[in-house]
Amino acid sequence: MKKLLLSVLFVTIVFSFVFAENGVYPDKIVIGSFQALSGPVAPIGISMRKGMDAYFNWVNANGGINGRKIEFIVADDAFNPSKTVVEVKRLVEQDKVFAIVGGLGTPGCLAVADYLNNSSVPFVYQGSGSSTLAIPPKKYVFTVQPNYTTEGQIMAKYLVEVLGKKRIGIVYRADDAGQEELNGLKRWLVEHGYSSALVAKLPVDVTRMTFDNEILKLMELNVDAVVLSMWIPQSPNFLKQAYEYGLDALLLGNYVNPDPTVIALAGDAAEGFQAMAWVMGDVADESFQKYIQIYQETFNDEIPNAYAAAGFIAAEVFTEALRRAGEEPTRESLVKALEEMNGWKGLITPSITYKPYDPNDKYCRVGIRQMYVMHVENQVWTTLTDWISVAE
Amino acid sequence: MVTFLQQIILGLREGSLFSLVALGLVLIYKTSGVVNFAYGNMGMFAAYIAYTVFAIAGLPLWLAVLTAIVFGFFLGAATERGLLRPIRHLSHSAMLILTLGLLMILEGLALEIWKQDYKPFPSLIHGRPIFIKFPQGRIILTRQDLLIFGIAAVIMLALFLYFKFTRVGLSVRATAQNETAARLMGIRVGTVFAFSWGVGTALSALAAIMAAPRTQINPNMMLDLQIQGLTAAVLGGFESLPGTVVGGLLLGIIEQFVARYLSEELKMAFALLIILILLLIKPEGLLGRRSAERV
Repeated sequence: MKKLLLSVLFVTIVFSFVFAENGVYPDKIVIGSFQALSGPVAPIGISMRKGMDAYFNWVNANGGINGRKIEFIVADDAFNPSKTVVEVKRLVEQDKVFAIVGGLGTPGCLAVADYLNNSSVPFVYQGSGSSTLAIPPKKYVFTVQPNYTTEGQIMAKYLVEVLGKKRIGIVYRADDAGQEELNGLKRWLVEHGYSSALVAKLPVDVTRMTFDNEILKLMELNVDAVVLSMWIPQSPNFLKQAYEYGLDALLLGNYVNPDPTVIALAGDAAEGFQAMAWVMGDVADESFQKYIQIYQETFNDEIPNAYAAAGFIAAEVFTEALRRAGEEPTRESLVKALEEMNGWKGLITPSITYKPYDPNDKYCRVGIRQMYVMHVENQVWTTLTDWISVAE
Repeated sequence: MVTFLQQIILGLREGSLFSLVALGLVLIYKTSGVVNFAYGNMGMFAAYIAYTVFAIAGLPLWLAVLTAIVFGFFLGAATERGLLRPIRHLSHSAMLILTLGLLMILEGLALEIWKQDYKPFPSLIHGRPIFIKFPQGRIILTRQDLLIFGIAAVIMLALFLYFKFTRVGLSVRATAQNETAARLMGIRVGTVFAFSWGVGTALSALAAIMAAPRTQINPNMMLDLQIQGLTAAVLGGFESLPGTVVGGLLLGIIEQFVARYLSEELKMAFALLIILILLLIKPEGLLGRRSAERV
């Protein structure tokens, strides 16, 4: 009898060790992320990391979550998906992280999403607008940024219904992201009976810096609005050249664009440029001031850019879910906490909603489906519209 | 017809930049016999200097441009004097490899000093474009187009006159023709080398500054222009300066038509294809003379 009791005790102890959640320790929770900290995309990766660092530092300085500090490991994948796979496997299998938070880049995120999902490791926030991360849904993968399909649809609705534009052109990067945005735009126009409004579809290589032919074609076709599905530094170049040629149409960029860099690079030509946005960013708001203050606690006097804001949001969403995941958080309780988020807002995170996992519900892992428009006025990005969303 | 004319104008604008780049390459090649692979990056580096003077030191734009061009001159001359002349006696390929090394060093150095972010550089001229109206449509001339075309034309003419009618020009031409004979005639060949490297690199700096408002300043800004310049030079025969100018303009127009009627992404491939075909069927270039050598 004594023997039996002892062995039961032994088995229980062993099991409790085996089932103690990876990455959760009495005094800390270890989480990981992958970012381009070197290579050509490093300016984005470094900024995004700073946003996360600032938020986690602030959480830790205020006692952590349920008595545990957050230990944050960032792997450098140099925006190379083959490196991402190696780095993320190391984070999961050697460092035994609890979750991956805020990985950067469509190629890298796509390369590890299935692996993380199959290993039951929550993956919260991808620095990517690809809808394939969320549709079809994966139980452990939670997207935050709106995807390009949604954005394309919102852009179409804004141009046609709000502004009454009749001849729309799109200049898009010839990659998956650009193609997806074009499809979203087209889908909304076709579904609402405006398919003839799309008069020009011009793909450009991702390394292109001059757009003379595109601009001339747009002028020949007499477009009254142009959707720019491209990033910095391509978009400011396009703005400058469109200005040189006197292209007289509204220019609307995707959500990577509302960043001071665009104004710095394009100067006067940026005036009047409109772009989609999804981060709550009204300087007058108290919560926005708080965000700046938290950021500056780690990075003295620095003003965070759009990528730092993205990192900050990744950290905000994860931390909120962790807080709700209970005294002894597990990966399952974290997933459940995320699923229960319904219209939650952070300091700069806009209303975010997930639903319980259902393979047939294609929006259960899409956190944000609404955006608004900003524009450059007197060389500053200012909010132009209210939130816009599209019915599915 | 109007679209056709518009393409030619665009082609000429691009082409005059190619010609400028090619002129410097040819000048250096003609005198010292080296194809300078670091040529584009030397211009890129000078553009960063212009950026530093203008945006960081806050000095006027004209001074920034002038500083960059002067810097380009001295960079070129110093490279010849300090790096190439000591290994001149080794072999031709040694000098080639050296310029390749320099290409990488300059790129790394620029990244180290100015970091990865693209740097803006203002257009030398501002304002709305000029429209020329026709019954069938209109032609658009941007001010930047006119400026680039104007500067290129003036520089080319000045170079031509300089080499034709001045003493220094004469000694450069003499050295290019026959180094030993030139030396025996009392020409200081070393100075001529350094001088033509200086002028050549200054041209690269000027081309980089004219391209900068469109490409933004970054370590790879001259990559395409270097290849296009090389193509223009090959088209022109790598020997004659007027041939080089014609080669550049022609390449600009060809590329423009490829971009408009075939595909924008194919135009660089097309430039390389032209080099290939020309080297196969007419290696002396469009305006070059076939040279006969006794073996």
